[in-house]
Amino acid sequence: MSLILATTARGLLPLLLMFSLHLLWRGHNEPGGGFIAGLMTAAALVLQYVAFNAAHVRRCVPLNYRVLIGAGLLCSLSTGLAALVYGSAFLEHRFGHFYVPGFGEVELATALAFDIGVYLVVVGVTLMIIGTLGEEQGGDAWNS
Amino acid sequence: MGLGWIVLLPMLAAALTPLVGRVLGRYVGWWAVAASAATAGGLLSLAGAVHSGNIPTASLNWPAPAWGIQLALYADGWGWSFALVVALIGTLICIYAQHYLAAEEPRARFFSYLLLFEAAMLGVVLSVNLFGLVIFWELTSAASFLLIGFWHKQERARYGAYKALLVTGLGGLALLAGVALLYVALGTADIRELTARAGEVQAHPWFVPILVLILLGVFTKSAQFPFHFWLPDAMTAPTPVSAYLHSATMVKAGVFLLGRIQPIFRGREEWFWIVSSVGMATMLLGAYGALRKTDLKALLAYSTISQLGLITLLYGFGTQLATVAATFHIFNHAAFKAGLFLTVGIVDHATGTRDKRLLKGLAALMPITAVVGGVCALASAGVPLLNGFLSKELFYEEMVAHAGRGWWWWLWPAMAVGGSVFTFVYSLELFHGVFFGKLDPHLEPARDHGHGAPHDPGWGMLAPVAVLAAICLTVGLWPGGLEKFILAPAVAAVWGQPLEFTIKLWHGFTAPLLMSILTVLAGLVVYWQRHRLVTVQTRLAWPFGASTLYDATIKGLVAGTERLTNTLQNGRLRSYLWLALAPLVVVLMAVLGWGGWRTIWPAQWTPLAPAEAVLLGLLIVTALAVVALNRQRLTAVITLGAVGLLVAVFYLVLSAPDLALTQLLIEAVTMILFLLVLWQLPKTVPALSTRGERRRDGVLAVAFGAVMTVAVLAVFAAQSPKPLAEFFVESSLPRGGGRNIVNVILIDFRGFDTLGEITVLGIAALGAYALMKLRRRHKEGPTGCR
Repeated sequence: MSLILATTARGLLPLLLMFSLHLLWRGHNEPGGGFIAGLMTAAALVLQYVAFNAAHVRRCVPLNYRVLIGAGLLCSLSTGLAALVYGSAFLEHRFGHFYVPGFGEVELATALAFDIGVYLVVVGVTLMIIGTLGEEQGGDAWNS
Repeated sequence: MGLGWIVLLPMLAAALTPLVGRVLGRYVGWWAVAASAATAGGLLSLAGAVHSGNIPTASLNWPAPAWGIQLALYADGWGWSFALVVALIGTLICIYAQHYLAAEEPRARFFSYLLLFEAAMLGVVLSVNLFGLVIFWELTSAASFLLIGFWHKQERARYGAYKALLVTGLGGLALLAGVALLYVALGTADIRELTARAGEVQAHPWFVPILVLILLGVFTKSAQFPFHFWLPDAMTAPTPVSAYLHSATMVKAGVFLLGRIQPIFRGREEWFWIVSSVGMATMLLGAYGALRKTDLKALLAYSTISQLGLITLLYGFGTQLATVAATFHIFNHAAFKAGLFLTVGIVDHATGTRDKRLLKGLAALMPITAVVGGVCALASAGVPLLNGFLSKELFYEEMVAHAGRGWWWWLWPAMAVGGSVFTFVYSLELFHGVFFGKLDPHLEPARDHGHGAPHDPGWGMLAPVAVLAAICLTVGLWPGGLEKFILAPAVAAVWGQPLEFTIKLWHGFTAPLLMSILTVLAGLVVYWQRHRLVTVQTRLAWPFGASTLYDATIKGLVAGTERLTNTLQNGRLRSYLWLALAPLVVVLMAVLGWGGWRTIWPAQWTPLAPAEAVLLGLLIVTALAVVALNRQRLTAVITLGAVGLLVAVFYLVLSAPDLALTQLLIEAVTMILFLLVLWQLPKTVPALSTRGERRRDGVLAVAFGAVMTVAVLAVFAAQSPKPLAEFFVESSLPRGGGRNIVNVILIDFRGFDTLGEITVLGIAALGAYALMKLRRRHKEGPTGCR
């Protein structure tokens, strides 16, 4: 374990996570979106795997990646199904502008909910594969 | 209660059953009883509307109304009366099953499947859109599969479940194809509209293919010859399931559909000949086959096949009288056959056997069962004062009245009597054979009671049979009630307009009565001499049947697939690449064509900026480096990463920040993935291929590269006048509400694609996870690529 890497990784984690969420939020209008944000979050966590070890990351991020994938799929699918309830076609999106005190006018779109699903799936898939692959190698692959 | 709830209620109840089961424990059956009864109550509350011709409807604009595919329900007389039978018998079956299942069986699962089936069956009979009907139709096949395979640890249960699913599922696909053809031909899948335009359907050049495809669905579902062979194997299901699905309701979905589409198709010769002759063949074959069976459930299965054949035959005739007779018999058969199945279930429960050679004289031990079961058996035999007699009389009347005008006029009536004689005999075997005569001393003590001699079961199992027997008797004595309440609206809906008819117990001395008397007399003689009949039957036995053909087909398919899979998926990466790339090269070359080379060449070229030229040059050099350095794994991977980064820079130069960002992140994550995999592999790549193989691979690589280059050029040369890109640029903000066009395309315009992609991604990750975990469990070393 390298001290410099560990310190940097620890400091970078919140910044990277916040930035990835920012990417997710602004994706509809600026470069970003669920896929990119998901990869960013995954990369931030993979950095922790590299800097520390699998057990440490498991402790800090107690997420079950399989559940994450399922939750993401459910989120995207239910956005599509919700449209049916309102008489639209499957996956038809709506958007509107709302005034939120302190933020000004904010655009909210059902597409964002769909994108959150994409985000969750991407994070889950990436971490599940990389995390399992790392662990399968006795957990040492991460810090040698 | 809205019509939609009729289907939704049992569906929701099915979904909730596992949760409810945790609370109610072994009493979960009562939850199913309540759901079924509520559904039946809801249907009864619609009676007034149905009778007055004020047809209740409900529809959902889903799944694809633009293509005529909709879940739309309507309760005309036919659909409503059938739905009522489904819900009422469903309630009785749930009560029976609650007492039938042993304490340790997974009840919640059983009742959940049963309610799922009930909902699907209600969907079939209430659908007005044929596509919606097919969806529910397939759902009943799925539920039937789950229920036949309920005791899935038994080899025979699994075999029966697969058989039923494959046969009825394939039929369902044929039905779907028929409905799709009909939709393409007429532009509608709405039954009401199709009925109104029956003339157009019959005059259409596709009439015969449409008819044959739909009939394939009907015949497989209703176990008509030559697709009857799945039904006897479906008898491995728990007996309440056999009573409900495989005699009273699901197998009737086929004949139900015959009634539904009769107004559209009747009148054409093809309809009459195909439907009637298949029905007649099935009726005779089933009745004859039933006598050979020693297992009472198998006997009942063949008898069901035979009775369904009779109904099919009548719908094929398509006259007013035949319609009345067929519709009447559907209800009668549902009552007495469900009762018979439940009786056999009771006998099986009490004695531990269903072998008719062992079962004799049970009336002494189980008097109440003998009475209620006996009524059902006699109704099946067609004995006067019971409902089966009335529909059999109508059947005879129709056979005499419309049999034909040639010299062979006697053929249909003679075959009708022949089939009925066999029916009489096997019904008598169920009544007289099982309950009378000398009690067999070898009767084992009860299987699960474990004490004493066989005896009548508790009220929970007797009451449903008693209700069904009472129905048989009531209808037999007083047909007017059923006629007014259920039969008249059903017949009116099938025929298309109300029909004048009355069902009478006494017609006077007419041909049908004489045929009935003949049936009973001949039946008694055959029953008396039945041992001889069995000897003859054994001598005549045909060694090769449809079931043998099915087994051979399945065996051949499995062996063939295995061979194909082993050839294609041999574990060699190189052969996979060959299989994927070589056909692609061939296909692309064929599509692009050698001669079309000139048209592929772009007419004008965009000048290359200096920065782009430098980047491109770097890209090519790095890509070549990957090839040159591939022996050193680590170096090769890092060089490959460099290629990826250059591509990302290229995207930036072409002002595509989204793509660049994605590419960068993917590169980073992939690099780590590569390094993790490399951890396991030797540092250098061993040379595994010969010089000749490498040369061959090189040829493929160059050919693929060349073809792809040409293909990309062709895409630019064949740019459509108004590129799709413009549409996305224009409508991204006003219609998608976002300025990031790439993102709006991904999650809105092409959202369905993305949903598919993330699903695939999730499945792939689960597969990779399973592979990695499995490998650890097997404690095998890395296999590597050959």
